[in-house]
Amino acid sequence: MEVLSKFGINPVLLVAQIVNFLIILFIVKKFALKPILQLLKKRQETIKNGLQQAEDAKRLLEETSEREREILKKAHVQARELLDEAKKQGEEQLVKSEAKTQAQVEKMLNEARDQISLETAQAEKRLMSHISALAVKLIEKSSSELFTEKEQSLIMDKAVKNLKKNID
Amino acid sequence: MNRQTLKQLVLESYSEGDLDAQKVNKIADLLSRDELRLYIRSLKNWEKQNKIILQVPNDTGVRMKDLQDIFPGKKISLSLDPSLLIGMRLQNNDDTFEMSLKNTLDKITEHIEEQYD
Repeated sequence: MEVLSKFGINPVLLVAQIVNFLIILFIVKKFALKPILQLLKKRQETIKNGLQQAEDAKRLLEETSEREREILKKAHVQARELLDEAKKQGEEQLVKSEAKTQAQVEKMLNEARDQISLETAQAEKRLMSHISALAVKLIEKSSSELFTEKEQSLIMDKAVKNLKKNID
Repeated sequence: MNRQTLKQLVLESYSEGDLDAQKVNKIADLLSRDELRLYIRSLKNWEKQNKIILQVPNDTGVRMKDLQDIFPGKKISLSLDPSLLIGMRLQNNDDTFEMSLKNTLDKITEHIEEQYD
């Protein structure tokens, strides 16, 4: 006891202070600590929920981004396929058109060739007829000069002989 | 009118081998319409059977004697057709014999034209 007194500690006062402390501790624990803990717990849950929602939002954003990328990729592929298909159809159409045009051109050329051949033949025929007629007229005009009387007599002799052969 | 009478009339229509127009007119005056038709037909037949038509471009080298030998008893009627150029055309009944430059040229022309058909 004397030791405590030497250090300036009053044991009775110490006990009283301890009792007071315990009473205050009990009161605080009973009326203040519980609501504070509940408040803290609630706050903790709110933060936890916020974090969870943020996490969810982030995940959702990532998923959405991923999905967007996939959709874009798919759209890109489809666009490429459509473009390729259109290009292919265009080329096929072009080939068909070229073949059709080629056939038409060939047909027109053949018709033109036939027409030219026909017209050439007709022109040749007309020309030959004309030349023949001219040659006949020329011979007609100059027959009296071409054949002497002696030659004409020989021809008549031959004609008479042929006639006699025919009659016999 | 029988055939014998018709033949007699046709023979009487000729004088020295040539058809006599006066005789023909006199006979025609005496015939009826039907008889006249028969008479004309008989005259045409007689002409056709007994006459040869000879066409030549000119009278150069015409051998009448040779032709007379070929067609004895037939009268040869000679006519000029300059379009024949050279040679002759002879008609005996329905047969026609032609050997002329004109005919030859026509055949050549025809042949040339056929080449282009």
